[in-house]
Amino acid sequence: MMFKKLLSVFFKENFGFSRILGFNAKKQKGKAIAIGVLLVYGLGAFLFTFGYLFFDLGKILNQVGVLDILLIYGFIYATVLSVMFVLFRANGYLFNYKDYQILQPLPIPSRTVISAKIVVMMVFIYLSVFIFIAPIAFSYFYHGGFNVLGLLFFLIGTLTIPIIPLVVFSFVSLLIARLTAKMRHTNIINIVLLFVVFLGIMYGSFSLNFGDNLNPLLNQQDFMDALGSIYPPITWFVGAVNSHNVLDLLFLLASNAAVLVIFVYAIQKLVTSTNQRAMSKVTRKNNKAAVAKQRSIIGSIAAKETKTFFNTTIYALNIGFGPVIMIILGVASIFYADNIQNYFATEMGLNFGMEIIILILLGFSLSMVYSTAVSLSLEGKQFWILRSLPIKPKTVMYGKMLFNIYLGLPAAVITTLMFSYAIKLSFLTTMMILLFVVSLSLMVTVFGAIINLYVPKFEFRNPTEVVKQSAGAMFALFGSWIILVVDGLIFYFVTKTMSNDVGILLMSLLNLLLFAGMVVFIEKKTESLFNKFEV
Amino acid sequence: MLVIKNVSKTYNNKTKACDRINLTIEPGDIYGFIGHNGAGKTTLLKSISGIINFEEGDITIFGHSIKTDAMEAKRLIAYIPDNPDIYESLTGMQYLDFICDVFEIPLEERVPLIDKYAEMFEIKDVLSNPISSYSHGMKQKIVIMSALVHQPKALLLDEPFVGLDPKASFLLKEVFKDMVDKGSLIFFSTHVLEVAEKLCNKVAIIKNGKIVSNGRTEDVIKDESLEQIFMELSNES
Repeated sequence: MMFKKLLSVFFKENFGFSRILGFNAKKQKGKAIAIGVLLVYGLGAFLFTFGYLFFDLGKILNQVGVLDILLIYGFIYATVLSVMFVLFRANGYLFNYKDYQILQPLPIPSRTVISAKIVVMMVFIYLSVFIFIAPIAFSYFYHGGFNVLGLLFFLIGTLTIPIIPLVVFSFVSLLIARLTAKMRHTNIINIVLLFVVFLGIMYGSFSLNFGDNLNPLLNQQDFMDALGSIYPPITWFVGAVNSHNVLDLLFLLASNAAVLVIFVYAIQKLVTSTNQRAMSKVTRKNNKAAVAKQRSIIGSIAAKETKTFFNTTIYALNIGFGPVIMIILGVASIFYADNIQNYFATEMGLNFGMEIIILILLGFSLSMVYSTAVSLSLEGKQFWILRSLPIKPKTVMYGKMLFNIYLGLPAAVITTLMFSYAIKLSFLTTMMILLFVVSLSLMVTVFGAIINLYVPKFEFRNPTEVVKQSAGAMFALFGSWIILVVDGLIFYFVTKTMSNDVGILLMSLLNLLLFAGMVVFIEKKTESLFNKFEV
Repeated sequence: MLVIKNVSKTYNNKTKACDRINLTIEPGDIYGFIGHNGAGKTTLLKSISGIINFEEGDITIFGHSIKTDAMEAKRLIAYIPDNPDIYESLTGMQYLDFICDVFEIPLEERVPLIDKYAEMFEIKDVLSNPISSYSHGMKQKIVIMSALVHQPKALLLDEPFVGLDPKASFLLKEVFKDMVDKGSLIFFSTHVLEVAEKLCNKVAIIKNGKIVSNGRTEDVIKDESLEQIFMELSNES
């Protein structure tokens, strides 16, 4: 009874429309429709591209009689998604929840609270897991033949996948938090560790394709077989869905249920102690004298943004991913210059010249650096500071833009130079690519700022809601991709008759033109948009 | 001088939080603003400081309208909210630097002022720590310091004594007196009627968005206490 009541409150708190959108949909219908359209577009684009890849893969796997590998793919994707979610959110949901002060004095058993918290977290995980593996399931049942029992076993089996990652990585997340708590640069160490985990997962999934066999599918099968022998739930899942083996399904259900029940009982004290620890922090006196430092207003805002960035783990991991991946790709290009083109052709079906591959990589990486699309929202409850100070709204936006350029552009320039060195691009082409990355960085930056001015989300409990789930983040990301597609079309048509360098130059000119137009917009409109915000 | 002229503010086109408010606060005034929860105190303070817009009327700060000349008006004021929500990822010193940068206060001016107030409020030892590690009272002190370091001509405060220890409260009152002696004006909301009665030379009482009484403190309370007056006015329909 109490569990149900608690769950109903948690659901209203976490899944309400206005909570997810950041505004009241009934009052701002136009905005709600625009976001709805965007969501449908984003979901459609994802399902189509991801679905296309797995549909093709399913066809090939079916031809060689190993369609069950697709199920292992689904299992691994669901596991990786669960791991990522738990690493990000377990601390906030379980070990350091903000309503601890409200819930703890109430006569509700700890395990009831913990169970309800876990259910909310699981619902979030299931939402992303089912969206991600839907194309895989479609491909599997299309090529293997649809049957109700198989689908039922697939759905039940999928519900169990996130449980073990939840249990294991909750502890990993807590361990990282505890280990780094007393270090000087806790957040930066946390960010580095999480980057290492993610890049490790990425490396693992890419290494599926590089083995002793010439046929990459055989490498994958070897890897999947090995994984199944180490982690039995994979074998049970595949057995249940593929062979309709009831015993395998029972093993899967029983093992996960047991793990979950033990987890709920085992962590009760841990949850209380970590939450209490967070409550009882003591401000230590510091012998190091604080030194004042003078900056320009824009510089000061950019410095503040930098601090916020490195102190907000989810912010740094998401927006910092682009620059990190660019540098990694640049370094990798020096060592694997000969294999890049071949890799993209065989693994991704991108049979392009190296210049185009570089442009695609840099374009997508830079489009992920969208701090301006969320940084105004991240002011949240502190927005009163900017509103009450004598700073022109456009100055605030320029400060935020400066930070975004600092974040993305140097990495893009360095990467371009590394690529240029690795694959011996001509001087002119290098200069053209540099012009392209500068123009793209400027354009994406100011585009994000305009988006955030239109769809701010000041009400949030966790920065993840802004950085990953807000309309601003989605608009900025998908909007940048649309502009990249336009750039690509220009390049495609121009290079039919002219050189690639001219194509890159024209793409850059389009970006600069858009940038100039958007700067005029910022100059003219920022103040009136700022004044409309109710905080 | 802070002049509030016929200011009205409505929320959601329904609730009138401030209804044609007229008040004049002169340099040298410590003006107390009293009212029950939801009476409109915070709304008016936020309107004066440019945090929220208002539909009708105007507010001028030493001749600069917060509507039409906001930058100049904001240069003269400092606002301290009831809840010290400030940038937790910055250290105390970085936050003070940020405010000083905005007001373009050179290092040679800001350093002695920061030193003076940090010692006064006993937070010098924690200025290099992140604000996220501060207690509520420490955050409140940092917000107060950030308001004082640029020596505003008008200091606006929303429940400034909540969360402060007795010593810090005493010191803040001393700072108030010092500021008004130098020609600044102070306008603050409070629920602590004794403080308003003893500290303020003028008070205003707001009820349901309307000013129901205002003027010199002794004229408002006459032979009664401020608490009695407040209760009488609150009970009137």
